[in-house]
Amino acid sequence: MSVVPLSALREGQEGTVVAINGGRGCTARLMSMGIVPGKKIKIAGRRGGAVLVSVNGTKFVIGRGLAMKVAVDVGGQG
Amino acid sequence: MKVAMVGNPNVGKTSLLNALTGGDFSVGNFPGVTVEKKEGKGLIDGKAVTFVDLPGIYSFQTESLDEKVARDYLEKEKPDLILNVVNALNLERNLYLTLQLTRFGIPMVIALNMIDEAEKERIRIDTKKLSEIIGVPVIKTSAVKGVGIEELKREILRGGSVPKVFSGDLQDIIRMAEKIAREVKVVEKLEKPEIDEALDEVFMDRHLGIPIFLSFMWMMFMFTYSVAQPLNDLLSFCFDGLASYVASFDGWFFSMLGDGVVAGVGSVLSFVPNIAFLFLFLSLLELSGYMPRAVFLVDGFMSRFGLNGRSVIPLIMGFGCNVPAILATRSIEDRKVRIVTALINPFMSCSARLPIYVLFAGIFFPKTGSVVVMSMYVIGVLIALISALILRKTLLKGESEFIMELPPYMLPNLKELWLMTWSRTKHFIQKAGTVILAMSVVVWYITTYPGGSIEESYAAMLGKAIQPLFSPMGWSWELVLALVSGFVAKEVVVATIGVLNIDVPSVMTSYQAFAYMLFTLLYMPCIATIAAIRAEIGTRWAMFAVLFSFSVAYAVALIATGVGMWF
Repeated sequence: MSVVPLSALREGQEGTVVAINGGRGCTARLMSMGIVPGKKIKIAGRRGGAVLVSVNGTKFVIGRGLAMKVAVDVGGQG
Repeated sequence: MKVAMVGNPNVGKTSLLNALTGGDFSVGNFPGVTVEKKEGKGLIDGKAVTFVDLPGIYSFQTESLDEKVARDYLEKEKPDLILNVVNALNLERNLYLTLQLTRFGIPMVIALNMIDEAEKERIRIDTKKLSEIIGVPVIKTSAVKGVGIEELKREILRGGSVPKVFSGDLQDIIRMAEKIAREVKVVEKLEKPEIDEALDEVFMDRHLGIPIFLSFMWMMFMFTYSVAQPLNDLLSFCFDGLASYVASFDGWFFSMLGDGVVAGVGSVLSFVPNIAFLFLFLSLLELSGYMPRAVFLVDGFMSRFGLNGRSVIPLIMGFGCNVPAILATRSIEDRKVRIVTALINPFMSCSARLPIYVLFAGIFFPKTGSVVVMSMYVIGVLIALISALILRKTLLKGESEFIMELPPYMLPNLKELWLMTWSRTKHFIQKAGTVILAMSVVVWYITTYPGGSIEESYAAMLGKAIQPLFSPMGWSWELVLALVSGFVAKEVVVATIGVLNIDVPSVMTSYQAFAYMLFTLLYMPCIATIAAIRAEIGTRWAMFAVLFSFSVAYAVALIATGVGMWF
């Protein structure tokens, strides 16, 4: 298992959310939107700044700053 | 009976409100905050019911403005019933909010909305079981198709029931929601709607995405400035006529009313068609679901300057008129990014400044005129981006953290489109109107008294008094007075030069003219823009905008003059 920030994933890469390393407010915000430890998360696209992710069949645009706070386990492929 | 509608963003609350009330809304704003609350009154079997559509929220845990509005309403106003609107397509996540709502102890009814879409995706939800678990009635609805509306009305009249209380921190809530969703939901075949995937492929394509976005921006631009222009002209014509008619009566009072109030307020009100058309287009982009896609596309570029993807639309709009552009910053959630985007907006050269460039470029740069005019636009953009970077590194520091859900694409409903457009337009008329009224009187006074004409007015004295400030640039007091008058609206600079009969080529050289053009590009925004800044981000920032842009303009004009003298 190898854990990397969400912002480091390539387009098309998939992983499992492990933790959110942010303040209370930002953690609560991400979790309320369904980005919760244990969920599968997939990078559907990225253009330098924000990343486009897909969780639970819903797509989100996450700014780079926030994406750095989401720790993702990419298994053996990281 | 008062019913509060609560739910995640993008669950179709407003459509449901529309279906329940037959479209009888009164859209109101909460005083002091920018978040809108919609109210709809409906008659159900002869009984009057008031629906309050609270802002879309994901939880009660993050202390955002939207959540505060919703929580305060539920705690203080104590509605008779909570109508929790749940998106059947994403039951589990929507249940986080549902479970947190149980703590208020208010009777509840759950509307399982967008059920038609969910069934298309082969999602089956056992409403009976869900109803037993939470202890409140659950009704399957589709606001768009009109499914389940009558049944929902009946349940609302019955008053719902007080839910079982689910307590715990967010982690516990999420675990409970996961468990409930597993129990009541059956997914036969998980498949995203093909049309959405296909649209996303196109709109967010690496190569096509940006050209498509720019062509939408161009359409918005044309729609706001060209399509609305005849209406704008008609209004200006009416207000001008009315102003001169009123001013033709004897006495200072009529002069103030005509040349001050009617002319000033009229000049702002004649922007209303542009603003309404802009809001119409923006609402269309928002309701259709395109906006978050565009934000994703441009975020990389904008974030280099401390802005984010959401800033791009207001900045582009600024080329037309900064007033609607600043109002468009409202869609930026991050407060600091929003303030910066509004503050730098006046550097985007609006259409009112073009006559000034044309006048000076025509006189001083007959051969290279279009390049000189174009350079104004480019310099404006560069200074805007540099200022953004500086502001974000100093006064408005902080990482911009944003996350936005991509809603499914939707064909906007006409009624919703109208309501959104109208409530925003009304907000502009109310907020900008009151400031303009006071400012117009002041400007009228200083350009009329004591001599009766602008040459012998306080404004002229002001021009002469502050002229030494501009002596490094070598501008005469008439040119300074023209700048002072441009405070009302930038195109007035040209009018004043005309009224004062200035022989421009004899009072300045070409590099001085270039510096003067730069100054008019950058110096303090016009009254309408200041009013818009004040309405959106407050009086203190509006004052800051005036000082900041003046300093930047002064510095740049000084540098241009200095560099010009070397050649």
